[in-house]
Amino acid sequence: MALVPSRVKYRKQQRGNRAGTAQRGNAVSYGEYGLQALERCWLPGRQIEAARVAITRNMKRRGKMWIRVFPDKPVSKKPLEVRMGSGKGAVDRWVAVVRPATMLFEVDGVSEDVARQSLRLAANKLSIRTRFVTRHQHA
Amino acid sequence: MKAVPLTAYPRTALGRNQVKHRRSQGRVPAVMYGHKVEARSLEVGERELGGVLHHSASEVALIDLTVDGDAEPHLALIKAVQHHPLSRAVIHVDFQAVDANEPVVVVVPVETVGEAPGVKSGGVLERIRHDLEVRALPRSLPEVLEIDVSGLQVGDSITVADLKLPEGIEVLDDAEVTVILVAAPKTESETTEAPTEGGESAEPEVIARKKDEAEGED
Repeated sequence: MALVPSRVKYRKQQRGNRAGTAQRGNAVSYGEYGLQALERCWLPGRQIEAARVAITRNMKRRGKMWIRVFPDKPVSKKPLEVRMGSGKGAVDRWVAVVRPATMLFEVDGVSEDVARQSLRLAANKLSIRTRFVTRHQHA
Repeated sequence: MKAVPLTAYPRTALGRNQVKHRRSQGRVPAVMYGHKVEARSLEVGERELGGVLHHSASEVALIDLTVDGDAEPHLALIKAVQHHPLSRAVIHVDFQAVDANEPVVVVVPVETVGEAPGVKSGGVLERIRHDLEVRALPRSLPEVLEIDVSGLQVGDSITVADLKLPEGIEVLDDAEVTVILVAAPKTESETTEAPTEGGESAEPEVIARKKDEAEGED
């Protein structure tokens, strides 16, 4: 199941701004290891879900996982071969606005090797470059 | 905790632009404050500071801080280190000047030692607290709090009251706070959420629309 908000105030949104680096949600806050975004994108709910499944399967019921992003932004699209005008298109997908340094996933309760492997498999499901980070990582 | 020597220089470059320029020259802006000490703007070498942080188990380190031009070195704790979120470079350091004979309060990370039998039998080791607030004399501060988990079965936990601490160290967190827990293994239904019908096309409820409908009825 792709991630979708349960209630929204407005059906459609403007594109907004995704400039700069993540000023919040950029640290390992819950677990011991994390997957950090290195690029900016609109991350679709389907990719987040695919990555979640990859982590859960690899961790085999050991450890805990946190998803740090949620696709709360609707992206609309007009049908193919339709002339411009006649209002904004229907909602096509839901995305999370990801800026460089955003923490995407966190895991805990498993060894570093298992965490690395799980997050590597998750990273393969995403359309951006990411890196593995640990909580007590120094400069 | 053993004090590590580090040299700092008084800083006249203040404000974002000047500090940015100093950073490009390999200097990290710092500040020193503390009990009986007036706050001072300082700067330290990026490589020297990197060496100190790299060799300490956590970012809490005791420093013998020699400020260029001062007669005697200051005993100081690294109170806070700010990192760039993407490059991870150190962008600022806070030094807290301390008295060797006065206890200080610092946040020390928690580390587990050993393997819990409960984890081998399928349990999940959960770290509820990643760090604890500790009061001790600066030289007897631990770099990390090591917690032995080799006796934990599924359902067992370690609270602050259960911690075996070296002499002279006091944990300030509530004695009932759970630090480590071995939780029961998750069931199949918890790990794989069943996909619901509709998938992506499932449309969320619009709050504003509901209000409009209510107005329309009136």
